[in-house]
Amino acid sequence: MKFHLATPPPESDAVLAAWHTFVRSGQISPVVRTHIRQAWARSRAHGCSPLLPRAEVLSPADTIALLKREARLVEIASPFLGALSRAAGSERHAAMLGDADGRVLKIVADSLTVRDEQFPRAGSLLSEAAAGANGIGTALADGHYVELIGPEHYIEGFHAFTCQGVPLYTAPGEAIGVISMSVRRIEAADRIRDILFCASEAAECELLSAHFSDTLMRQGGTDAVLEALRQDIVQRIASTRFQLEIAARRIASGDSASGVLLDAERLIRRFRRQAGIWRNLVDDTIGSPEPVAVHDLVAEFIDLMQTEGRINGVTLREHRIDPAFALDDVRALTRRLLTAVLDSLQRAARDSTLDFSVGVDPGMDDVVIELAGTDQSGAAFAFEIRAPLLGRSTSNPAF
Amino acid sequence: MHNGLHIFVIDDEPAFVEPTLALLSLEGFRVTGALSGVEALRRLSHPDTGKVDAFLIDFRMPGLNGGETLTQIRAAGAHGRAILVSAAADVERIAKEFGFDDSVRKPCDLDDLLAAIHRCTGSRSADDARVD
Repeated sequence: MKFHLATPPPESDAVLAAWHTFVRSGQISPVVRTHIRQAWARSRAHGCSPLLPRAEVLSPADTIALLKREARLVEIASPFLGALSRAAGSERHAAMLGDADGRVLKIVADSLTVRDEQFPRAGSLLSEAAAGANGIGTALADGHYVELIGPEHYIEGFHAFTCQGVPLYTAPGEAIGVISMSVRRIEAADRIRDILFCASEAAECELLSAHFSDTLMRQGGTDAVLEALRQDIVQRIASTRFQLEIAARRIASGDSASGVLLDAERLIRRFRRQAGIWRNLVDDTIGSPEPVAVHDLVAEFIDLMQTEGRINGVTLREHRIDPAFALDDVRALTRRLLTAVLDSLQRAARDSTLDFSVGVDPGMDDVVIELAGTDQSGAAFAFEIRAPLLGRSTSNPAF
Repeated sequence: MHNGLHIFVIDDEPAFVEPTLALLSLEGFRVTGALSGVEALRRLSHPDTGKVDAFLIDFRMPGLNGGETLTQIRAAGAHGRAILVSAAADVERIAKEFGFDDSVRKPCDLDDLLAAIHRCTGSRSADDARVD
């Protein structure tokens, strides 16, 4: 995840003085951190007043309509807001979900903060244009994690808080929302940062997973293999919510949660790799040839197919995987690989092993994937998939 | 707390079983876990395992699937309530077809599991002091 380098925040009094100078004269002191200076400049360019006591709020009717439109995002993100809230323990805090335009969709907070009429609520407008630099609007404007401490917030009404925000993406470049965490004490913000990263990534994975379900439904839900593989991918992330819950409880009680969060991160990375393969399998459009790291594709494919293999009583194993780069339509190549694996699983004897090899046939300028197994009669069989070689088999500069 | 109700989690994904057992244990349940139907049956036959109040069972597992596992559990004389916990799109239909008492779709959170356990066993869910 890209985020601002750990620039130590300046003294709060110095920033507050800089904020007063900015309000009086429009001059931004260099004492203010770079990303905050840029956010203040954008906020001013939008015409936002720094003297606002609180953020504007949509009408009740518009808020209800907004929540109806964004019901799925709210449903998926809510467990993660809950985990963040529990991680805050007895601190004054608010875990918030915003939409792609910086409108607040949901807040999970301690009871005092919920009752604070100055504090944002569902329907509050927190884009930089509406509320200046803040954890939601600035995360969306910058497109990555941000932290704003006290008077780094543009409007005075937010100066009591330290806010962190992480935009949510399901495709590069287009945020679909943002998760933020506001606390009163900077020490609490430091404790919560890692679980905030993890929670936002897990929420992104679940949004992708929901999108996969939609994709299969649109296709009539008839492909049993793709549905089974989708379930296996979901299984990868099903435990992240529970791991975050454990992490939240540990953080709240002052214990280290780094081990649990690392486990969650590993599952998230595994989910993302497998999700990429699954998308290639579902997408039946014909793509252009592109460089493909076949050894990586096969290794990840084996990982994706492990459960299907075990259900068929067959162990999938990397036999000899040499670095090999092809120039091919990755979706078509992945589908050919799936067909070969399914054919092999049908043919293979129970309690046997299916060996995968990747190498280069220099005579044909091909990358060769071989699946070798043993059938029910004990006879050896093999399937071969070929793809045009991109270059030589090692350290290709294209990668 | 849940008065020590005994929950048995059966799922082939260790990364799911471990945190699930840890959280249920923190909620006051007595917990047992198994990574396959066969392992679950083996544990059930052990006298130390004792009476199980509810089984949380995945469906898509190597060896015995969730439905077959439940059939074998019943055949072994265990009568705890059975909750299907699966990522299947049609989890409710599968639960009904194989005689589960309830179902939860993955990904789920702890409250979903607690609610299903509560529905099946009549146990009390933990109070949630959070406001949202």
